Amino acid sequence: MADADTAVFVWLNGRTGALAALDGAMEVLGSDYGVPVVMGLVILGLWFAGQGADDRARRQVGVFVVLTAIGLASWIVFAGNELYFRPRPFDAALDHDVTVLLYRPTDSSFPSNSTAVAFAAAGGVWLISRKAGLALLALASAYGLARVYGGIHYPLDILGGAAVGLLAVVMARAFWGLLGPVPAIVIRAARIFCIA
Amino acid sequence: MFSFALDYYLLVSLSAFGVIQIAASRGRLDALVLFRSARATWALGLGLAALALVWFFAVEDRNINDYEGGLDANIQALLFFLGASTAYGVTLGLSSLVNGRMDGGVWKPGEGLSALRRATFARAISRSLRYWWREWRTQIRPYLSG
Repeated sequence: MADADTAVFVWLNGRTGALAALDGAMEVLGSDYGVPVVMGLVILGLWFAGQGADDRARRQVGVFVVLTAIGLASWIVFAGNELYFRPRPFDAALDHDVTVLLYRPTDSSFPSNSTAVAFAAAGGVWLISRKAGLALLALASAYGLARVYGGIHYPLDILGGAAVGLLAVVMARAFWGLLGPVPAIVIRAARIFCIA
Repeated sequence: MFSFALDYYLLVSLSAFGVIQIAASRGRLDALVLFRSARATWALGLGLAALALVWFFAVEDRNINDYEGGLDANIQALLFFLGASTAYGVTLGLSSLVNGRMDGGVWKPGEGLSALRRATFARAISRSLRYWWREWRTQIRPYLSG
């Protein structure tokens, strides 16, 4: 498994340098400030975009689930990193040179924190809107791919991050299910100030 | 780091303003949009969001670790919240000015954003706050009684 993981990494990272435009695009795609901002904007848009008060309230409850899932995913990765540390590909003793397009993070390679958060956001959005959710799942996958291509993650880190993100969505949904009417009460209060 | 944080705040504020315009247009919140035409609203929204992203990545190298001048995840989240709040505040102010003639007709308590289909934020919030100032005791009673 680890050999296959390294082989896929070496193959993907080995494509760098062939096309400067592709490297540039992957740098932006894998950046901390591109995909996360776009995902945040989609979540913001979902807060306002409902067709009528009931649809908007349903979406806004969904936004609570998304934000909770993002927090949970980060926390799970943080807790996991205390137990297990995997060196980044550029720090590991590989038989191949690693080209690093993105900055060199110092935390554990597995699971990918950025991908966990991206999949938590995408999975949560999928519960609100299938179309937007699928688009964000594709974007989260591309984000993960760019980070492997950019030399800072192995493919298994991305798969692990995606699993953590989607698990966080399930947990966040159950959490708000247990709390029952709390989000509806918060939304009703926010309506006084025309922010919900 | 301050310059980076400011750039990020501007990126979020500008693009969030654009996204709110698009979302308001989709949600038929007519008093929130600056243009009557949905096409113009979408062009403004998408244009602003795209331009902000292109500007952010074009003016400087953004590939920086948080301990070398970049932003850690917590600061990013905080700045995103501040930027989105700024965008909404500017949207409310500008749209209240541009759509000043929309008086809203009949206002229903607890409408929230839906009131902005017919009335500007300035009118909707003044009606809402006046109502809740008078009625808060009777409105919260059901939540406090067993």
